[in-house]
Amino acid sequence: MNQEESSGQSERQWRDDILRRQVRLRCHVIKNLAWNLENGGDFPTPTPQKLCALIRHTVKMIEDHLNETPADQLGNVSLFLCSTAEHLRYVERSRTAHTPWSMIQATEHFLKQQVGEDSHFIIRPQWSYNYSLVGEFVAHYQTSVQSMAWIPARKWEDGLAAIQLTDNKIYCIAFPRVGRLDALLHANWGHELGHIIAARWVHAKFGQIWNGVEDGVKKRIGESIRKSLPASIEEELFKDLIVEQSISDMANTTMEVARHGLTELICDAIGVHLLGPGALAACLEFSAGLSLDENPLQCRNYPPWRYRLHLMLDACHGDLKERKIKVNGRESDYPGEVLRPFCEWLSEGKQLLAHAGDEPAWRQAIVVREAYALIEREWKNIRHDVLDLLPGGAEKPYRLCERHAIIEDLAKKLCDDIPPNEVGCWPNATPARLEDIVNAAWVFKIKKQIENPGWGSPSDYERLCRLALKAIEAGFVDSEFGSRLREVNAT
Amino acid sequence: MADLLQSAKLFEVGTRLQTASSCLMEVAGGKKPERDALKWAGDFLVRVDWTSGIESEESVDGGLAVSAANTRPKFYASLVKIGPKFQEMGMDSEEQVYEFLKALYRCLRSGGTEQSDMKSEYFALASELLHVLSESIMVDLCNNGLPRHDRVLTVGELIA
Repeated sequence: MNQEESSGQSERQWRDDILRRQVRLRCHVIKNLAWNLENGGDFPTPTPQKLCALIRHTVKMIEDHLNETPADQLGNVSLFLCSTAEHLRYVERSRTAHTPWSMIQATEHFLKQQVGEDSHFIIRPQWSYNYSLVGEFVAHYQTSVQSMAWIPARKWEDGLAAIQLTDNKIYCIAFPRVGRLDALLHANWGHELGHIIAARWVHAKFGQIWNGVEDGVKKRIGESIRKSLPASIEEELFKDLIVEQSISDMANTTMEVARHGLTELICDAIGVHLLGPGALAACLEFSAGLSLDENPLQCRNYPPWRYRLHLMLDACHGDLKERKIKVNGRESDYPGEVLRPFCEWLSEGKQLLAHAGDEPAWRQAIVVREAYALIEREWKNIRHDVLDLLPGGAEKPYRLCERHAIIEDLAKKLCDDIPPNEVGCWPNATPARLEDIVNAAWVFKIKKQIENPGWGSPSDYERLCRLALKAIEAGFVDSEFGSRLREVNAT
Repeated sequence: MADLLQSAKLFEVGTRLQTASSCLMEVAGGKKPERDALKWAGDFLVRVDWTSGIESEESVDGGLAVSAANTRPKFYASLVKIGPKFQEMGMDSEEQVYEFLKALYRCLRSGGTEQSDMKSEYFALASELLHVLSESIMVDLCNNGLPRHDRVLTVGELIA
């Protein structure tokens, strides 16, 4: 054995000794942490406990098979355990005290209606000022465990059945901590929900689309790179490999810009499809302080805000047009007195967002140009395919003009400081839907701001948010349990 | 969205390539390797390497296409990184490297049975290539265990 082999051998032994002990200790700690959180209670839904059970089960499998784990895989297992431990923070922060608990059950119900009863949600605050969705956890653990050949995948799946998670999905939706009560801005949850549908579409279809264009993209990027190669490259022994590395790097970036861009645009489309102009209004306010034309390469591949808002405004176009509509068989003016300020405010946004017509600077880099050429060629079909994955299908978007009378009724209740949890008057009232309550709250807010520029103090805004939250809770309770209560009452 | 499935797929690629790396040394030592691990690595690398010239059987598997595109720059970087070892073995041109890779893919895709073009010293080199590639994927996934703070004003980051 030469010196290099000997030192290689001793390094392996050194790592093996340390890592095997570390992994065993981490398994023990993570299992205990998960158990303590799982049994600590105080969660608005059972989903956080489900994630704890999934983590505990997976970590136990790793611990049980630690002796069979090959030495050269211990580093990977250690990395996996560290990332697993991070997932427990989603559970810890979803306790009732941290969440707008009055709307958690209604929101989870709304989310499940769109993506299926087998999907479960942890809803929690985060200190960063943003909304986000993390997931899907069950598939993540399944894929990871399957790649560890020394762990019997079947045994892991049997354990999954024991904790009632077979064919189930777990996601975590986060909202900004400082906007905990902001039920109006929580219209962004429609976008976050869109990530679930977008991920399904991306995993099923994006690779095929990319396969179809990759050769062309590679050719054009290759031509661009070869034009700018430094003369010194000729001295390199493996220069073709170096060039291939650069081309594949840029092709990969192009793919990621397109994949990420499409994902975000799909989410926006789903947000507007489910929540209508309420989702657009939340997005307009959220982006007001940000650069509208930033290069995706500078923003972790996110599409520029102006581009996104344009597509959302196009989707809401029908709700912004002034016209005659029929309400209960009678012709009526749309948008009418109550909805007009909101519709005009959105139309104003459309004018402000119009840009000068030249190709924006962010499209100059070849990787962005190629990615957006792909997006624009495929967008119409993709949007239709994705919306068709929703229960109502692509043909049934949320339309303010179709909910006109309901929104007016709910907005008037807000004017009278009444929670807008039902449409009509008792005893002939029906529970209001979450989408209608959110849109009515936006209608009310913009109307008040325009009629009275002094309106909008923290207490004004808090009152509006609390009325909306109360309405979401009461509307959900009524729609879920009202008919049963009436039956009990009658007997 | 933090797409956990995509990161799990990259973790899968890194773990399976490391398993294949160890299996190659078993083949070299005359032991019976895990054939599935070798086959998986062979099929995947054929997708990754534009120069392989081998038609992939799963030409429409979209999920693999994305993982392959993510891995490709690291694959060529790994080849460049172990370039001196190619030279030590007398491979002084890219054509010789491509021939080595073709022999490797044939061996992997056969589950270790087709070794006629694999010289005995090639196994250690091939095993190292797969190990270096696996390691670079894992380093990318976890930033080598270091924090990723690269700016002062973090607005919109995923901070619990």
